[in-house]
Amino acid sequence: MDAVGGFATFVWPPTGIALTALLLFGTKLWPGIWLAAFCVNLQMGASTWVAATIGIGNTLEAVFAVLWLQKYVGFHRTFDRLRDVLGFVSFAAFLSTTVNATIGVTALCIGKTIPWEQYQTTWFAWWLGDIMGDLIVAPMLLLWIAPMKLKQTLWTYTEALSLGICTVFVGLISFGGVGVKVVRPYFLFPPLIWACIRFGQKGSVLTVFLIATLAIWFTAIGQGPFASTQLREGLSYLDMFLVVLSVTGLVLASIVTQWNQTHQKLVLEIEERKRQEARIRESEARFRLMADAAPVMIWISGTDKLYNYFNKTWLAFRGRTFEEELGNGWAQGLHPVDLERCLDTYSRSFDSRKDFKMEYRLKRCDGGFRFLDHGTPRYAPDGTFQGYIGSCIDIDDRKKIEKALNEAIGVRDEFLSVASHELRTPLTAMQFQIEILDRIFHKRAGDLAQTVDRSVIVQGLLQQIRRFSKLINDMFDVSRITAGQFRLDLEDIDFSSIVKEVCDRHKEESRNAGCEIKLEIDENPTGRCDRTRLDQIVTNLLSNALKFGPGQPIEIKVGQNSASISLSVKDHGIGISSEHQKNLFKRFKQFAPKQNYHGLGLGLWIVHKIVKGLGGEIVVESQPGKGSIFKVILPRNPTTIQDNFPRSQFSSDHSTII
Amino acid sequence: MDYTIVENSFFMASSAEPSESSAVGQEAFYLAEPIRILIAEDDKDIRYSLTALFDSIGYQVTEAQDGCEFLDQLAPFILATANDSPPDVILTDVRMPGFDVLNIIEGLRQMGWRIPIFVFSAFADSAMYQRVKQVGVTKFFHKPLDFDQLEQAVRLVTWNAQRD
Repeated sequence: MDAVGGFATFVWPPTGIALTALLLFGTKLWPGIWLAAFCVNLQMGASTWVAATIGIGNTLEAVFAVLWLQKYVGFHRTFDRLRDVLGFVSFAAFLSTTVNATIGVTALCIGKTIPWEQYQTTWFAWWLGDIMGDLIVAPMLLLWIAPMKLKQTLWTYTEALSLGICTVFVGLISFGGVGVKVVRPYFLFPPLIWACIRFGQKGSVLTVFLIATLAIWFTAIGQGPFASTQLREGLSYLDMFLVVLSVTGLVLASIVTQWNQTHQKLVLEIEERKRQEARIRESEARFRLMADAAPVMIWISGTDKLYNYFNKTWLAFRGRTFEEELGNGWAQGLHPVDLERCLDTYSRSFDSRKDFKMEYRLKRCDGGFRFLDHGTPRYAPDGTFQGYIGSCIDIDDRKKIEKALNEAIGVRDEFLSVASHELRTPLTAMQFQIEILDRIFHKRAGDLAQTVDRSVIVQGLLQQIRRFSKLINDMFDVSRITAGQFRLDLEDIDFSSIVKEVCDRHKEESRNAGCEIKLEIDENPTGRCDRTRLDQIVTNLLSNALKFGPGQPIEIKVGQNSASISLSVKDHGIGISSEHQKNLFKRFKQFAPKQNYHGLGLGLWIVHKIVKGLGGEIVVESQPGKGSIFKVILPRNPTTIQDNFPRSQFSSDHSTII
Repeated sequence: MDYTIVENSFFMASSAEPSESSAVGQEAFYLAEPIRILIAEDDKDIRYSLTALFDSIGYQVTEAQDGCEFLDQLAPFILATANDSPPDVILTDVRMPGFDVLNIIEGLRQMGWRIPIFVFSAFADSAMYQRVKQVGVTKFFHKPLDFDQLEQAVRLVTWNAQRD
């Protein structure tokens, strides 16, 4: 287009295309550029070596531009930073083009294609043309090759269309027609600014491209403000105008883009921050919910050792408000004995940032409880110490159970020891008695047959067997009662007959003990009862009376009223102290000194259970040293027998109960 | 379940000569002076049977039915008011009413009595074992016990004692 000296045109798009190609695909593509430039110039009539040299110029221009952009700018093809724009304008558009212009024009002059006098003008035209190519064509290609990122709504399209129409319209009135004033093209800035602000770099370069096309076209056909008698003159002015326009567009759009990006980043940051805050709030709410719903008591303290949080469980337990507990307020509830030790443990652990475990009693709204407190240091995600968090578990029940368990184990061991003694003693006696009989039968007894009365031995043996079987029966009764399998067979019974029977059976024993048994029985005391168990009650009470009150009379009374029958056994023996009376009916309890009195300590417990099972009552009145009275009151018509033998919690689930 | 007090010289001597002990026959036994034995036991039947059994094989038996009687039987010898020497062997239950038998035995040992003392008990707790070991009992028997075993042990120590 009106090439100066035939080769230097004022618009040289290939420069832009070459630059784009190398930017996109790398500098390795340079032979292609050289080849293309060589062919074009050859075709335009340059000699081979001139065309080759111009090709070298073109190639070097593009290669230098790319290398400089990469080295000094860290160029982004998106032109979204001011740095990219300024770098592109200075290195690619202004600087690299001088290389091409110089090499090309020098080659032309040396090749005598143009005379040396035209060197300056040709160089300038060449340079300006290349600048135009780099500034208008290259950004256009680079930007529009990438996919569109704008939100493609109907409104965007409408706006883009309006912008296009507006630009074309202003372009037409700026450049169309003859004798147009130079001021008209200034009207092109508003659409350009619009494009920059609303459509960024893509809008900017497209607008500039549109304007340039129109401007060059009209100028070329001799219209518009830049039209001149000499086309090259007009075009050079136009070029300068377009350079300003396009640089303005690129700079403005990059600033807008950058601003937009910064803005967007800020918006995102704010949103992220909001989300984080919401997350923190949510996690805090979740923590409080969990802490409040937890059955354990939770506290939190700060770096100042003061407590600053208590969960609802804690506050409910203490029956105090949050404010009252705050700081060291909670410590008012500590048991005075535990106070110092507790605060000391806390303080020492705190200073060394160690976990701690401590037991203490904390006052509840209705009394003291024992707690196991476990505290752990808290740290922020970045590792800074934030205080302590602790949880307290109520170990009061556990302590009670442990104590009860230890007691039970003690009682059991004691019982086993006593039981072992009580069972081994009759066995020993039986063994010796049988040994005697054996020696007598086998005639290796020396004078045993003369010295020993066999019937006495046999009587003793029988008595030991009775003693032994009573122990076994007692133990079976205990296991049956605890298993809830105690059976009662009710029938109409004459109480007096059973009492008399038991007394008869103990005649010899009472004689041995030196006790006179006095019976006082109401007339015809009858009622429904279990014969065997009633016998057991009377036997146990009478045996006890004989055991603990030897040498003194024993009084047995049977009385009655309309609803119940009463039985009392009174001795004048050692008696029972009032503190022992409380535990008298407990299992395995023996209060009499063991060396003096035998027994498993089960008798009264069994009696008590039977009486309860029959719906009756047993009471004891006693004074140490003066004797005891055991009174049993039994209903004539017991009803709720089953319920009176609750199964012990240790019994099997499958046992049958009456 | 025998419990042997190792430090006791009587039992050590006997266990060192098992062949001799088995050679001791009943006849040889009868040739000696009747051996006097004190039996203390609170269970009437056990005491009666033991007395009868030992009596029938030639022992001279004295009985005690509790701790008090046990001490009463030994008192003349302890106070040195008796004319003759104390019993050759003592057999006693551990737990009896009255005085604590183990305390009495401890006292006897402290006085330098070296007579064989056999104890038996139906209790078996470790505290009692400790105490039995401590006071210097010749041999401990667990109830129920075999009479032959008891007799053999008694015969062994008395034979050894007589030989001395």
